Amino acid sequence: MNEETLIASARQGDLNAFNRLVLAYQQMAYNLAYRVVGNEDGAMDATQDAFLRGYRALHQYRGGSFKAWILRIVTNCCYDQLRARQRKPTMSLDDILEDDEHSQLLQNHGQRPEAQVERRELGAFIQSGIQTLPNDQRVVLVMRDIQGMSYLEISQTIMVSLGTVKSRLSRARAKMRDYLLSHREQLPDRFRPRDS
Amino acid sequence: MTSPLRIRDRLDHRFAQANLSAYLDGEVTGDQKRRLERHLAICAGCREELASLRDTVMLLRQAPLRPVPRSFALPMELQAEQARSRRWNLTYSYLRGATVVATFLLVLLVSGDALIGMGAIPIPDAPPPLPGKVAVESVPEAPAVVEAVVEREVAATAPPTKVVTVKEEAPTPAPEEPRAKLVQEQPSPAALAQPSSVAEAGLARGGGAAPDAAAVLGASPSAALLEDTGMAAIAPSEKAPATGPGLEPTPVPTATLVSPTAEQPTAAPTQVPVTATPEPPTATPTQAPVTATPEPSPTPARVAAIVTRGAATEPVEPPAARRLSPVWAIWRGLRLLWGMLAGLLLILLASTIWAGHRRRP
Repeated sequence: MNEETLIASARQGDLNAFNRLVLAYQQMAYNLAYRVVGNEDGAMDATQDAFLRGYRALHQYRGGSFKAWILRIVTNCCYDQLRARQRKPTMSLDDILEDDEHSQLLQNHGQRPEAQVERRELGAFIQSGIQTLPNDQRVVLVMRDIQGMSYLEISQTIMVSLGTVKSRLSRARAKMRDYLLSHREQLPDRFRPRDS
Repeated sequence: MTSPLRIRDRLDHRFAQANLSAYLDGEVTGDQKRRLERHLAICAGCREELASLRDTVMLLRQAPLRPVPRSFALPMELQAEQARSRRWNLTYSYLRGATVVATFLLVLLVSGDALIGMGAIPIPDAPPPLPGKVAVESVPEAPAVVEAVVEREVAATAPPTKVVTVKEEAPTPAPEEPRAKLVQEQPSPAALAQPSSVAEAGLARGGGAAPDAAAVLGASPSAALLEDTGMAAIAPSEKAPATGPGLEPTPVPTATLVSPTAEQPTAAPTQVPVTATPEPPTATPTQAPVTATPEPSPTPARVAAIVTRGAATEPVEPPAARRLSPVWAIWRGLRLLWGMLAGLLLILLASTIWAGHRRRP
């Protein structure tokens, strides 16, 4: 069953059809939420909330890219999470990163321990750099450089022009490059960027 | 001095700084790409910048993809809940639409009513006047006489319990009318002493209509209009005709209770039953005490009722002439619709708010 058929069935109220769409997009949605929100619990909440909202608001879907539509909802849920966290901060970002990366390490049983440590350090380093970016630039950088979305998909998802996507991405990459250069001693050797 | 070539290089440098990221992704046009590459060929700083950006992007793309900690599939209970929610959403949509339509219609009716009331929308004249009325309106001195009568009667009706008298109606000469008969049988001394010009005018014309009715009609054109348009209230004497000679005079003074400024044709008259109250000997020397006598308020409705009653004694009165003018009938219907719509709107608003709360669990 292709995506259009699943969407049509889900719009008629078929939850099984919608759950198949959830399974197809939950990896992308959760990773976007994790990179934007910055912690696992918040990402899980945002992702679940996004799929729930998506199912309830499916009658408002007017065609086009379903991926862009559902990721837009995920992005909005992430913004809600960030706002809620600003109102009620409970844990420091360092604690969150350590906990999350540690739990991730425990899940990757197939890798060598050195490789696992290396990837955990890289993931934490990138995440800490992403957290320094403003929310709008963060979303664009994650969508493009981590999720691999095209400029057009990004503009459809966050509903801004292509020029805005280009400028936000350019500024975000420049900031990330500066962050990497200033903290490159924290990176494994093979990942260290060259001096400009 | 800066050469034009240097200026162009500076512009290209700024352009490259802003578009290296897009160039890295291949998101530039052919012209932009050529311009960038031309500049990169001569600018070492931009080449290094491009290389560092490429490293950054490469590093970001190596960021590990996090496995999903659990499935985000929705529980099946949500399906029934969604069906309920969808029904409520549908109900809410219908109610909201109906509320909007009712509001629009109510605004339309109220504004139209207000425009009619202000005279912005002309109302066609009433149907042609009755023959009796035409004759009556030709009496010039009638208004003054009736106003005087009204003033006296209003002053007399000031106390809440009052014995209704027929002293002002004594000169009524119409022999066919029972009311006039009673007046002739029980003449008031005051009335006999002061034969009014109303009676004179009626007798002089010799018409079948009662002279008091004619005078009242002439005194109050608005009452005539009300009578023509059917807006006049029915007099109590018409609704419940007198059954005995003792009760018969009671509606008579209603003709004299005229207020020239009253404009409420549908106002119900306050009827105060009078139960054998002592009356001044000068006011009712021959009048027996009346039980359960309605005490009408001086409204044009009374006038119109008397006029109608007087006109009823005419030998020929086409019933169609007393029908409502179509526009007035529509207006009255709209007034009724107005109130109904207001009530309906309140119900719809309450229902919409309720459905709005129920549509999301």
